[in-house]
Order: sequence, then C-alpha cells, then structure tokens
Amino acid sequence: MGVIKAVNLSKWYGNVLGISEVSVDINKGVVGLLGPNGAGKSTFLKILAGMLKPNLGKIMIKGKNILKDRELYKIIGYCPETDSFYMEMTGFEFIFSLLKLYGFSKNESKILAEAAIEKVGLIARMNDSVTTYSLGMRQRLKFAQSIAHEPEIMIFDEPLRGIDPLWKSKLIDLIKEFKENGKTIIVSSHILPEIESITENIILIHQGKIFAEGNIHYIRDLIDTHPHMISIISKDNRELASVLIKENFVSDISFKEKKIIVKTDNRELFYNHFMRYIAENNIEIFELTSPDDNLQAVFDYLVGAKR
Amino acid sequence: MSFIKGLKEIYLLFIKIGIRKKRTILLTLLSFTPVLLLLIAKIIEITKPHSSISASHLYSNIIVAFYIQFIIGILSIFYGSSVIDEEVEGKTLIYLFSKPISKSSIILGKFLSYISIIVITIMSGLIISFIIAYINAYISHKIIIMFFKYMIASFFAIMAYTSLFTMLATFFKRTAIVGLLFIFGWESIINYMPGKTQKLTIIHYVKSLIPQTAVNRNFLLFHLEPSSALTAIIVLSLISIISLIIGIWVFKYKEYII
Repeated sequence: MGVIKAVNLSKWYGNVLGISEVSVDINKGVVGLLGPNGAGKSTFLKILAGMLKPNLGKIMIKGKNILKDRELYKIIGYCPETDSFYMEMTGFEFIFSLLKLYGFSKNESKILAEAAIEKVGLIARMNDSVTTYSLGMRQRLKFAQSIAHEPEIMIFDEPLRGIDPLWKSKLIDLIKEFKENGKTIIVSSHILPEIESITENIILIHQGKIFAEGNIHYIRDLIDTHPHMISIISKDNRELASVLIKENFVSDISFKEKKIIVKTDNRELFYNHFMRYIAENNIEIFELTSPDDNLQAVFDYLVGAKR
Repeated sequence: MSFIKGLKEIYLLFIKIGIRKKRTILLTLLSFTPVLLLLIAKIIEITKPHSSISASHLYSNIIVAFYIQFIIGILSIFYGSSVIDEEVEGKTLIYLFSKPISKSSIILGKFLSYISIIVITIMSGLIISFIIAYINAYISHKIIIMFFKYMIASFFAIMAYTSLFTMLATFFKRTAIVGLLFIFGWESIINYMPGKTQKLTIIHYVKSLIPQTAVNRNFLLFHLEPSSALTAIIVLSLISIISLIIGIWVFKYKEYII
C-alpha cells in the first residue's frame, strides 16, 4: 500500500463538480499533479491534506483514515495556493506561531522556524512585517511554513507561482533534496516545464478526473506530435501568410483580429524555417506566441484524442 | 493535540493577532470616548465649583448610554463576527484546519481571545471612568456596589452579545450588518416597549442588572420593567452558552470554502 491511498474520491460544491471518482496510490518520492486551472487540483490536494471531506470515497494516510485521526496532521505539510497570511505578524512570528499549533515548545518552534526561514532565504527579513514582503517572498514564506515541522508528507499547491527564476530553481533543488531524504511529496502546477524540472512521475487531472498517470515523457511525446498552433503579429500579415502557406509543414493558416494563426505538424521545422525567413527578408515581427504551450490546449487535444 | 492544549495555543495566537489589528486600536479609542467626556466634566467641576456639571453625577448616564447601549454592542459585533468572518474572507482558515487541533478548540480559543480583548478594553474604560468621576468625592459603600454592578452587567452583556454574533457568523457571511441591525434595530426598539415584549431583548436583562438610580430611571430606563437580577444572570448565561454550543457545532460540521 502507498503512503497515500485515495479510493474513489468524489467532491462537489453544490452543483459544481470538484473531483470525480479519483483513485490513486502515492508512494515515497515526488509526484507532479498536472492540470489546467480549474481541473480540480486544489480540491484533490485539500482532501489529501484532510481539510476537505469527500462526498464519496476515502483517503488513507499510512493506512489510517485522516478524517478520523487528527494526529496524522503532524506528518503532513501543506502549502496552500492562496496568497493568504496573518498580516499582523512578522515572517518569523508567522512560522513560529503555526509551529506552536503542532504542539512544539517555544524553544523547538524557534529553532525549527529559523531553520525553515533560512532554507527559503528570508533570514534577513524575518523580523519584518509580512505586509512588507513581495509576492515572491510571501510564496517562499508560505512554503517555509509547510516544511518547518519537517513533515513526512509534503503537499505543495502551485508552490512556484510568483517566484523569481533564481528562487524557483532553489526551491526545486530543495524539493529534490526532500525526495532524497525519503519524503512523500506532491507538487501541483499548471505549467508543464515546472513539473518536468521536479519529477518524471506525474498525475494528469482534468475536469475533476485523473486523466493519466505515469511518466512525464508520455505527455511530452503527445505535445510534440499533436498539431501545434502559433500566433504571429507582423507588419504585413498577408504577405507573411502567403509565404508560409506554401510550406509543407504548415497545415492551415487563419486570421484572427490582428493575428495570423498558423497550424503546424512539425513545430521544430517551422521555427527553423520561420526564423531564417524573417532574418533573410528583414520582416518585422511584433509578437510570436504559442497558445498551445499551455496545458489547457494540451488537455483539450488529449481529451479529443481519447473520445 | 489535546483539546485544552489546542485551546491554549489558539488563544495565545489570536491574542497576539487581535491586539495588533487596526480595528482594535480604533475600537479602543471609541471605547475611551466616555473617559474623555468624564475628564472634561471633571475639569469643569474642579475649575468652576458652582457649575451644575458634576462628573460623579454624569457617571451613571455615561455608563448606560455609552458602554451598555452602544460600545459593548459595537465591540461584540465586530469581534464576535470576526471569529469566523475574517478567517473565511482572509482565507487563513487553511492554516488552522491543517493543524492537529480540533475545530472546537479553534473556534472556542479564538472566541476566548477576542472576549478577553473586549473585556479588558471595556473594564479598563469603566475603571478609569470611575476613578475620574470619584477622584475627589467621598466613595460610599453604595457607590462601590454600584460600580461592581456596572462591571458585572457589562461582563454579561459582552458574553451574551459576542457569543450570539459568533454563532451567527458560523451561519451567515458579513454578520456585522446583521449585528448592527440587531443592536440598533431590534434591541433599541423593542427595549422601549412596555410590558413583557422587552424581555425578548438581551439589553433588557443587562439593564436589569445595573443599579436603578433615580437618574437613569428617569432618563434612560424610563420604560424598563426589570427582571430580577438572578433571572437576568440565568438568561444572559443561557444565551451565551447556547449560542456558543450551536456555534461550535455548526463550525465543526459546516464546510467552509477554504
């Protein structure tokens, strides 16, 4: 049996479905919970952490029902998605006070709080009010409160949101270090590269259901092979479209507002040719984006493919 | 964690948070307005000995008009409803629900911390007001009893109102609005109706506990047909206990959006 075992979990809020018939076994190591916004990731994580009661199904942590044994909360660390704090406190007081709620003594709480704050690089600012922190600092503080009591199970809901690249990389290394120390970690995100940099083991969630689980290469392959959309705004859209449509790797071109939407079956080839073309012909490009790089598009494609 | 330990930790946490809130500073300033009025009266009394203004004479009216009928209600509304509302609106409930502490400890611990803040604020206002009013006057045995009666009535009023608004906050969002309507609508209107109707208000029982001096009987308690002190204490205690039990029960089983 896994460290965490979810059996047929279903949760709805009135008529709105949160998650539906989710069953999963999670073992030691890092699992990435991947899904677009509104997929049910946070609901699933809150149920795992024992903060929401499922309407159907049960959740077992180390063989025990979390809703019937509050002591299990001591071995779980939860980093919420929301940017919420007790704003009347300093960073240190925030972590220290929450540690006291686990039953630690003053002295233990002080040592653990400082250690956690040091891990997220906030020692120099720990005595400043939380109100003076930037979004990235608040994210790191929130992360610190979830690891401060050194839990066996760590649940991070979108932990890297709003964090600068340097600290993103440091937190990823920290998560990997926890994995090496035998922790069970679940990290949610709607950004594929973020999860890719943390783990290969993923659970795909979409519209409240577990869509797939296993190795991340599975989804990466699907992304690389499915038709890819690229949105371009140039000085002369019509001229550019007339050139691109002649290429074999372009399967379709359409116009949307001031943009050209190009559909390609081989995005690597497209980018190679496109970059060379604009450089050689000195074409002015104002915007080049790929709407398909977000998970929603990937999931839409996967759901379509499964039907 | 045991219920008592959880209660203690939650209490200490919210005392720390509660006293730092801007709301606490504003409400403390508000609750010291009567002190300021008495101070002005005392200065006039000392500087103009033949003036008709006497701080000790004003004391009873100020306690009833400001503390009993206004400030206690306001403080109870804002602190009582905050026990739940600020956690839900600020999305901080998640930090409490993820800890090995029972929901009963959470709501009761936070309630007790906020009650402590109200009691300290009101009682210090009452004590300072009393000192100012009687600083240069002879304090008889009767005056001491009167003072303690005001303290007791205030305490029971704080308990009853705050418990009630805490309970309401477990059911409704933005309980402060409901509270203001209750205090300045229901309580104010029904309280002045003759006969038994006034017994449907909390303020009736609170006023039944305060000294029925000639001054306040003629001025503010004109229509009061008081219940006995024992009945008033029993009713106010029951309102507090029942409201708290219902509040704890709802908080325990209701699912909040976290």
